[in-house]
Amino acid sequence: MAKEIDLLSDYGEQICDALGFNPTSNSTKPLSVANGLFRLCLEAVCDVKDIHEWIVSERRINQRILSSDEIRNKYKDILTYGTEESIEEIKEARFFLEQIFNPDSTVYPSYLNSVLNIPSRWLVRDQIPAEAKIGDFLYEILNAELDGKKSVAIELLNEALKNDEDDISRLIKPILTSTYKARISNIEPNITTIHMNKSKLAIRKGFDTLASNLKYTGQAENTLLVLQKMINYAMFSTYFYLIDVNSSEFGVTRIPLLLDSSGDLDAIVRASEQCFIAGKKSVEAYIVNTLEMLIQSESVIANTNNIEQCRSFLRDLPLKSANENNNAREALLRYFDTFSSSGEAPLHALAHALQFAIYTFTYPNNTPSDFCRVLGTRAGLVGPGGNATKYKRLLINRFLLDTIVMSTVNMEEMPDGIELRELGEAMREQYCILIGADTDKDYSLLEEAKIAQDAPEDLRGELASNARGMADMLISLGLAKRYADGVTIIGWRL
Amino acid sequence: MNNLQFIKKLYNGRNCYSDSLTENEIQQLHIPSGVEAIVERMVKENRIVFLTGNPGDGKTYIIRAIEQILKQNNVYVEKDLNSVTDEEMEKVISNIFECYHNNKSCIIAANEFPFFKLIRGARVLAPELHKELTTIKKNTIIYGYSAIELKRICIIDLNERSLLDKDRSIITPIIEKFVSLLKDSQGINPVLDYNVSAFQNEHVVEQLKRLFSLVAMSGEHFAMRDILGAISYTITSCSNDEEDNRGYYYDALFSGDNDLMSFVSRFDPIMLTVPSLDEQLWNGEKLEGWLMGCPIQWPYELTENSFQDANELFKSIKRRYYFENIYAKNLSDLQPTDYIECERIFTKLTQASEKRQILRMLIHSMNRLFLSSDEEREHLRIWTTHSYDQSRVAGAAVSTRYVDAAELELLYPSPASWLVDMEYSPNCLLMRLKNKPEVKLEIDTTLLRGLISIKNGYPSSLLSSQYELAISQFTQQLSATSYSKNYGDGKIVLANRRDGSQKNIFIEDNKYRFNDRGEY
Repeated sequence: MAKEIDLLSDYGEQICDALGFNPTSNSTKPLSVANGLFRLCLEAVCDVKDIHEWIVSERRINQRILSSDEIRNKYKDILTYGTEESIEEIKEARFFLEQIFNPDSTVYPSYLNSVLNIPSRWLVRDQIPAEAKIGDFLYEILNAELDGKKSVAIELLNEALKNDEDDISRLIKPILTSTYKARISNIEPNITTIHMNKSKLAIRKGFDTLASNLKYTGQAENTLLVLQKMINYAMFSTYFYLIDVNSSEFGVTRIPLLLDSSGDLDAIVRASEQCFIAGKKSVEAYIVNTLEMLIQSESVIANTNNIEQCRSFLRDLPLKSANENNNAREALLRYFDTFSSSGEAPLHALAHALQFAIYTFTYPNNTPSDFCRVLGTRAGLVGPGGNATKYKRLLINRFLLDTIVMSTVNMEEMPDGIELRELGEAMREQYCILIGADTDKDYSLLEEAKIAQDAPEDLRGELASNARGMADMLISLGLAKRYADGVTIIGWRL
Repeated sequence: MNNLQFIKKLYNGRNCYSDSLTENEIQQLHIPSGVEAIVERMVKENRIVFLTGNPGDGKTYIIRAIEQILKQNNVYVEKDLNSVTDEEMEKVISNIFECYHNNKSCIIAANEFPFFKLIRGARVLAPELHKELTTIKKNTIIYGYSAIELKRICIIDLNERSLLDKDRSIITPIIEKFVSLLKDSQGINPVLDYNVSAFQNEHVVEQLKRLFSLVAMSGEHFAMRDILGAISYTITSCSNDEEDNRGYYYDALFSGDNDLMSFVSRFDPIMLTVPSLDEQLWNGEKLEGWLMGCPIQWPYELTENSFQDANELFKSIKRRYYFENIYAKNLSDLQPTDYIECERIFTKLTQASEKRQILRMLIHSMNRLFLSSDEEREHLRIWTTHSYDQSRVAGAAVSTRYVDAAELELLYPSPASWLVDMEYSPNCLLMRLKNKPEVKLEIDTTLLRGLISIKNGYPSSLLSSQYELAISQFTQQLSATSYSKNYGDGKIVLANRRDGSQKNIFIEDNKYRFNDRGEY
C-alpha cells in the first residue's frame, strides 16, 4: 500500500530536522544519549546481546528472559564449575549484576530497546530509537571545526571509553574475553556540516571547557567520572538548547534560568517555577516560529496575511486517514479561528494551529515541553522529583552544578580564583543562568522576562540569599572558599 | 561610662569595634593572647607581617595593643585594608614592596577578601612578593613537618585561632576579666550579683566551657567579637529593661541572638531528656547537689495558675541544674553524640594507639557509606558506583580493590613553626597515604560528624551526597596508586545499597565462581 501523505507528520519531522534531534519521546534517558554520543565518538559499536542475557535477571517474569539454568548451560565455559555451578548462586549473582548494569531502568527483556550501563566501549551498542538523535546532534557540535579544531571532548571521551580496567567493566570480562573481536563493528558517522548558532556555540564552549577542566584538575584519570560528567553536561546542554534556540534562531529575548539553591526562599521558588514554565513556552514558541518559516519558504499560500487563504490551506491540507478519522482537520480549523480571533496574525495563527495539531495527533503522548521536564529532571536540573509535585522548578543538584561551573570557567586560567559575582556573570553570559550573584542584573533580567513581577515578596533580597546558598553548595564541592564578609571565591584547590 | 555599661555594650554595640575604644578601655579589655607576642617578635625581626582574619577577630585590637612598639620601630602600618579602594591598592602594594626590599618591617591588617585582592594585585605588580606570599599562605597550617622557612613575609591568620576549645579556651580569662570589672557594680541588681557569683564557681565555668567546646565542633568560626558579646549578654542582660528573660545567666545564654549564641542554643539542656530527672525537677524532688542553693519554687506549684509559667520555670530550673548541680554530668553526656565523639577524637589523636583506633572507626564508617552491613575495619574498600541518571541514586556499588589500614595515617594539622604560640586547636583531620602524602582526604568536623553518625547506625541514604562525593574522590585517588590491592582469589564485592546485602563474585582465569566456600 502506498504511503499516505500526511503534512502534520511531515511538519513534525521538519521541526525535528530544524532542531537537530527528536524531542518526541519521554523514554529518552541519559544512557540513551550516552549510547548515541559514545558510538559516534568511537565510530564503533559492540554486540552486547550476551551481556544483556546475563543481566536481565529472573526477578522479572518474561518468556524472553533466560533462566539461570539456561545461562549455566549456555555459558558453562566461563564458569569455573561449569554445569556444576549452583543455580541459586547464579540467580543471586544475576540479580546483583542487573543492579549494576541497569541502574537507570533502561534494560528491558527485549534486547532491541535496551541500553546497558556504559563504563567502557564494550557496552556501546547500535542505535536505538530512544536516543532521539541527541547523540548525533551533540556529536555534530563537537565535530564542527572551530579555529580548525574539533572539540577536545571527543578525544577525552575516546580515551575514557577505551579504558576497560574500571571495576564495572571488570565484572563482565569473562563474557567479553572469548569474543573481543567478533563483537565490534566499525561504523562511519554520517557527518553533515551544521550551522553553529549562538546556543550551539555556548554548548561547544561548555564541552571544551569541561574537558579542559577535567584534565587540569586530574579528574580525567577517573574514566567513569569523565563519562558521567560528559553525559550530565550532554543532558543539560540539550535542555538548554531547547530553551535557548528560539532566541538564537529568531532573535527573541533569552529565557533566564534562575537556579534555586535551597527551596526555602519563597520568592526564589516562585520565580524559578516561572523560569521553568517560560522555558517550556519558549520551546513551543520556537516550534511556531519554525512552522511559520517553513510555510513561508514553501510559498504555497500566496498571501500569508490573508485569513481566508490560510484557512483554505488548512482545508486542503493532505492528512492521513487516521487523522481525518480523528477529526484533525476540524480541530485545525477551530484552533486557527480561535487564534485569529484573539488577534494573532494569520500566518502566526496558522503555525500555532499546526503546532497544536502536531502534538495532539502526531505525537499525542509527548510534547517538547514535557520532554524538557523529563530531560531536566534526569540531568539534575529540574525538581522536585516525583509525579506528586505539581510545580517544578530549576532545583539544581550538586553534581550538575559542579558540571555547569566546570563548563563555564577555565580553572587553569584563574589560579587565584574568581569572585562568585564573576562566575555569575560568566554563567549569565553563556547560558542565561541566574544564581543571584548580581542582584541588580539578575533582577532586571527576571523583570524583562516578566517573571519578577509574579514573584511574591522580596525577590531582590532573596536573590542574594540564593547566591549564598549556591556558594555553600560550591564550597561543599571543593570549588569555592568563603572569605570574610561573605565573599566567595571560586577556583580549584584554593 | 561605668564598667557595667562598658561590658553591656560589647554585645552588638559600639564597643565590639576596637576602633571606638579609648586607650584605657583597650587596657581594661586586654585579654592576653599568644598572637601579640608573635607580632611583636616578627616586627622586631623586620618582617612583613600580614594579620588576616574575619571581621571581629581582633586584628585592629592587636595592632592597637602594641602600638607603642610599632611606633618605636617605625613600622609601616595599614590598619584596615578594607578601607583601601581598588585604586589605592596599587600604592599599598608598592609600599609593602618597598619595605620588602629595604629590610623594613610593616604590618598589614586585612580581612580575608581584601587580602585576596592584594595577593591578586601583587601577581602583576610585585611577582617576587606574590610568590613568597602564596608560598607562606599555603604553609601557615601544616601536617607533619614544615619544609618552609620564614623569609621576609609572615602571615598570621586569626581565622585559624581556636578560641572555644576546652583546653585552650579564652572563656576563662574573659569571665575572670568581666567578674573583676563588675566588682564595682555589686548591689545594683541582685540577679547580676548572682550571675557574677556563679561565674566564680569552678563547676559552672567548667560546664560553660564544655558547652562552648561542643559549639567549636560545629565547624563554624566565631570571632573574638562574638565571644565577648555572648559572655557579656549572658552576665549582664539582667540589667536590660527590655529583655523578657529574667536575666539569670543560664537563661540568658540561650536567648541572645548573635551568631555564636544561635549555635549555643542547639545545645540547650532543655532538649536533653531524662524522664526520671525531668519528673524530679518538675515535682521539686531533686534537692541534693545544688552548688548555689536549691530552687525556692518548683514548676508543679504553678500548674494550677498557669501551665505556661510552670513550663517556663521548668526550663529555667533544668538549665540551672545543668550548670549548678554536681550531678549534671549525666545530662551533659546526653548532648548530641556526634558532637561529643567529634570532640573526643580531636583530643585523643595525640596518642598512637588512639589514632589507630580512630582510623579503623573511620574506615568502618567509610565502608558503611556504601554497604550498611559492612563490618570491615582493616581495609578501606574502594567502592565504585556508576550511573548517568541524576534523578536516581545508584542502588549498587562494586569493589574490586582496597587499601590496607596500615598504609594510611591520620594527622592533625598544626600551625607553622612561627605560629606555635597562637591559640590553635585542629578543626579537621587528614587521612592520607603514608608513602604518598599527596593522596589525602581532609575530614572536617562536618564530615567527621557524618562518619560518626554512620558508625552509630544512621542510614547513609539520609546524609547529604557531599559525604559520598568527598570519600569517592579520595578512594578513587587511592585506587590509582600501587597501594591499592586486589582482593585475593579474584574476588569482587557487590553491594546492594538499598537493603545492605552483599554478594561476592570471583573471577579467575576469566571464569566466574559465585561461591567462596568451595561447596560444590
